[in-house]
Amino acid sequence: MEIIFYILAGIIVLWAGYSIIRAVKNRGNCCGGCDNCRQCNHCNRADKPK
Amino acid sequence: MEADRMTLGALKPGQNGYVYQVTTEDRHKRRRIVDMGITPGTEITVVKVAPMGDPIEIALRGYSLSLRYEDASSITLMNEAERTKLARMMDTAERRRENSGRKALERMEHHSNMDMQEHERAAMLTEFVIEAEDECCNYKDGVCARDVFPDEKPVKLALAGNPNCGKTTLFNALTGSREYVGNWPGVTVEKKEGRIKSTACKGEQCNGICTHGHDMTLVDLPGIYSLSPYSMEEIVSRDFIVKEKPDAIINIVDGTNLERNLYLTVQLMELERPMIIALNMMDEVEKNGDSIDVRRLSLELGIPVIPISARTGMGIEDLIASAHKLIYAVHTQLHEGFNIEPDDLYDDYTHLEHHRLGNIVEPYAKRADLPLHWTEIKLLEGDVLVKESLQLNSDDERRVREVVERYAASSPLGDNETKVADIRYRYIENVCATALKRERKQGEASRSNVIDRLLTNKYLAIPVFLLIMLGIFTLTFSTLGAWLSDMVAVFIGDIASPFIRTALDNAGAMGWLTSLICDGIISGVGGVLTFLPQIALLFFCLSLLEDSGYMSRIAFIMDKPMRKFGLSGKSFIPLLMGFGCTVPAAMGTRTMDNMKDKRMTILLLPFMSCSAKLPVYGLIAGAFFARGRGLVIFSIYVLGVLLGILSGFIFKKLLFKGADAPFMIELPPYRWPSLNNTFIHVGERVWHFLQKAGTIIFAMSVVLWLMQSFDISFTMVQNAENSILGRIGGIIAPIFAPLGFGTWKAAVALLTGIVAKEAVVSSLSMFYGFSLSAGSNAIQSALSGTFTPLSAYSFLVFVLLYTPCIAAVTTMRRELGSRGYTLLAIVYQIMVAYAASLAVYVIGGLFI
Repeated sequence: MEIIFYILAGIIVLWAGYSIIRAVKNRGNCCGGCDNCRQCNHCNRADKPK
Repeated sequence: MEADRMTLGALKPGQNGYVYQVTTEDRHKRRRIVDMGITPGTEITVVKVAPMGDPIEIALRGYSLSLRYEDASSITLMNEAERTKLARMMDTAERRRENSGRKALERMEHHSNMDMQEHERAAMLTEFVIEAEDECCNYKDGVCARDVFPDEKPVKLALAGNPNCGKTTLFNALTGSREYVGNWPGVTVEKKEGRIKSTACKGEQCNGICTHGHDMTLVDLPGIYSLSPYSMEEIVSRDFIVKEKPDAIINIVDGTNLERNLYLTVQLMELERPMIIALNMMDEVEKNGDSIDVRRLSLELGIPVIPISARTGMGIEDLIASAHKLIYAVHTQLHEGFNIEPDDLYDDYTHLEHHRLGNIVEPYAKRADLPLHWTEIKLLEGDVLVKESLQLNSDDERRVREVVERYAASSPLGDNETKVADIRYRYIENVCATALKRERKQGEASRSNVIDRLLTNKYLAIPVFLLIMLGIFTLTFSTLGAWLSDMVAVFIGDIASPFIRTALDNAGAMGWLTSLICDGIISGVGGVLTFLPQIALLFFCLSLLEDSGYMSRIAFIMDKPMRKFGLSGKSFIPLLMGFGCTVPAAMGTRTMDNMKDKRMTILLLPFMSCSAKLPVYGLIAGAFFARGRGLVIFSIYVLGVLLGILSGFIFKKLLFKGADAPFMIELPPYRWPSLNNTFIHVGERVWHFLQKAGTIIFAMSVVLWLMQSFDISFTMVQNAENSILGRIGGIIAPIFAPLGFGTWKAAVALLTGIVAKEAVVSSLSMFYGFSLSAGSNAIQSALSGTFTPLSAYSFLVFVLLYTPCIAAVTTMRRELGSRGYTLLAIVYQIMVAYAASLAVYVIGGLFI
């Protein structure tokens, strides 16, 4: 059972790490750090960050 | 004589006059005015004056425009006799034009026949497509062009049109995107791309748009009134068409405002790309009792015209049916290549001079890869950007200058730009005279006028505006919003969290894992989620304001007070958006064509309390000011606005001296907000908020939990003060001591707020160990070690005013176009936040 909890903790840490990297990469773009993408339409550009 | 001329600014509401000249020396301002249709001979009726005495609303060419007295005073008027004389002169000139045109056609029979044939073909295609069934051409045979011609070349289409003409709705219908649609000019501030959704026919399951085997990409250009070289949007749009050469242009034209919209159409025609007109708002045209002869319009312009009704609230099936027809016309246009050289736009003299220019610049235009016809007319207008890109030699530059100067001396009605604009509008008037039947006279009361009598009334406008705002705040923060938030908090704190804790304990999970999940993640992410209903409600209300057309009225009402501190009514819309989020608000300033206004608006944006700060207000105000929670939050918002106004005065005096930018804003008709559009808007915001909670807030919660639970040697600690976070907070805490919250917990909570403001709540709930569903008394007692009601209010003031989040700062940096101004914004916000909090704590301390 213990191994499952360690896996769970690992997933949490990995997800947190991914979220931080994603936010850093997308900084300044609506989809990175703000909940109001739609008015500026910035993210719908061809080169929008993934 | 000229000095005695009456100006538009001297007219009273209900009076009308005919434009003689636009006298302002400012070329940019003059061009903006004439582009809006204020050309010699145009009839203008003053509809009303804004409640605070400026600006005024005028009616012309079937639409309403708002402009300031200062600009109205630069428009001189003619009396009736002069107007009759001018009309007679124009008639004579028109007859002469027709006669000489006929002669020219006789001389160049082949060319004229070709042109006439093209016009006829455009009209025939229009007729054919209107009568065609809605399905794709091969639907009945069960064959799809995509299957038969899988390798058709990709096609790039440009979608161009005036602001607020339904472009975004059409873009969404064609591409399947869900971009937000507003009822005020300037929703699209940057071009965006989407693939037209097409699916192969599968028997009767075909639910995409038939693209006839092509992979079609649609580029939505910003909403523009003209293709002048003065505004960023207009330059972006024309550069895209000139340089990227889209295979065809879909020009969306608002049928309720035909004359003004066709002004852009004729400029797009000058670019000589294949074009199709999507004639929008046809349902509204009918509702107004007007009618447009679509075939005739197509025949006159030589461009296929497809009537559609892409506007918020209409059935999506009808819109898709229109989209089918539109793409069918696009496809035919691509293959048949209707492409009229728009010579018949101009009078003979202009025509002659523009050809003379052509003889000089043709090799240069070819070398610079610019459309020749467009280049010629732009040179005649004196377009500096086009002239620069041609790189003429000195001899040819002199020859061009001679032609341009001769053209300028040919008529007293204004400079070359005004003359060309006037000629375009005269052409449009002739087209509209044959194709448009208008029932209502200019200035006659419409439904919008009746609503405006209340909403922009001299005495009622401000109270109604404040009432609407108060209603929104009450609904969001006090009544429904607070109740819904409490429900979510109870679910997370009393049901979900204990359940998960018990389940983990029963399963034998390690203590630290239970703490990570329950005290770290659920407490952090859940704390933010509690405020989701309030944020959804706030955006629901703002969306209704936008969709209805009231936002433009707010700009109209607020222009005069905004000017007092160096801004314009146009700044009001981005500032209002700032209550949602600073990032799109900063981007929204791109619709402002004056850098001074733009920079100043961006610098003031952080004073508008963004929605991410709402959870902090809700938590603290709920705990310490349970009875007057709504009022306390309202006071924070008002404080932000007041300090913004004060800063505006300071910036105006110290940083942005000089003349105000022109203010011209269209007042769109009021429309019923579409619930569908509103829910899309709210749904998207909720989704992004959830994404944010699930990613960055989640990560912050985990990191903070780690830093709070372990010390530097990575040993778990019992007392958080000894943790990594406690040590860092301890160092910076003394800075906040004079403000009333000099503890490491409050200091670190503020630091985390720089990543995302909601994180302040997560941090507080983790550090002080309270559940967000706990009653206000429980939260208050948890926080009471640090905060008193006074220091809690001081903390709220600091949260309101200190540096915006990283995403906002990065966007501000990009939009300000200057590191210096960005640094100024950051330092200024921190200084103001510190000073205001200190003032609240010290002055408040004298009374409590």
